[in-house]
Amino acid sequence: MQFFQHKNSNFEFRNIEPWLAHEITTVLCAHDPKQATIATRLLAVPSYEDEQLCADWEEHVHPDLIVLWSSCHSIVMSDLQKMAENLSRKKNAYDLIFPSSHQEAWLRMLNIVRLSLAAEHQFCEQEMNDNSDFDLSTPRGEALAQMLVFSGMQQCLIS
Amino acid sequence: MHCIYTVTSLSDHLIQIPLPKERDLDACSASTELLETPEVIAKNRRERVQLWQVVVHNDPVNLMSYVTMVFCKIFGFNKQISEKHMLEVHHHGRSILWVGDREQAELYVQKLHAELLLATLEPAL
Repeated sequence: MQFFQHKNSNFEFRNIEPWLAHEITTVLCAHDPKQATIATRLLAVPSYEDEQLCADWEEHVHPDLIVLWSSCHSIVMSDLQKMAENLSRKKNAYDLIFPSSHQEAWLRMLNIVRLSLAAEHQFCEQEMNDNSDFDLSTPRGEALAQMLVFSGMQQCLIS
Repeated sequence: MHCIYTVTSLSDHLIQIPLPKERDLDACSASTELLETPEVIAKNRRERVQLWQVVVHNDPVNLMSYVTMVFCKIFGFNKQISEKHMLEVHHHGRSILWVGDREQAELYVQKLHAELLLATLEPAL
């Protein structure tokens, strides 16, 4: 997979092998922020002391955040749908292309997936920093590899 | 015109509420006395001058470059200042990003939560 930013400011992840394209699509699709299990891993408290503020936040702010993140999920899903329709037979690979206006949605969704995977598998900092030792035959190792892919994609979009 | 002040729970707007005219005061004297005690006035005054700080806490998942980018975007910092705060979060577990009135502090915390950062607001010392 290679990353390009075009002169028309589109972003492109080029030559994504089919297994990787499938992996990216499956994981991002599965992390819809509207799902309660995903949302609870993401929603933070605004204070560690003020319980009233936390209650108000839960009532007024959390629903807005879920709406915002869900709209990001929809944007990312539509970009992935376009990618799926454009398999290059010649090189047997996919190209994921989206406008720079979708950058924010992609960054948020990649973060949502990484935070969610980290919470689900209770990864420690050391595990996440050590990119050389994971067992892909286990769900935990697979999740670590996914986190590595998504952090790489995030890094490309930020730089 | 007499005025009393009250503070909303979430955003601390100061709202002016006109009191009833003199002839109506008897009917609501109990609640008026309650609201105008010296303690309540002093408390309201303290709340009006209370400053709040926006604190970002460390988490091991968010990328350092991502955190720096978010600080630039939300607070309008240049890259150097954003990196300074990001490193403070990374090494010391937290950094105070902004100090000011409560309503604006809540807005900043909401924006930081939207970007999936761990942020809280605290009374500034």
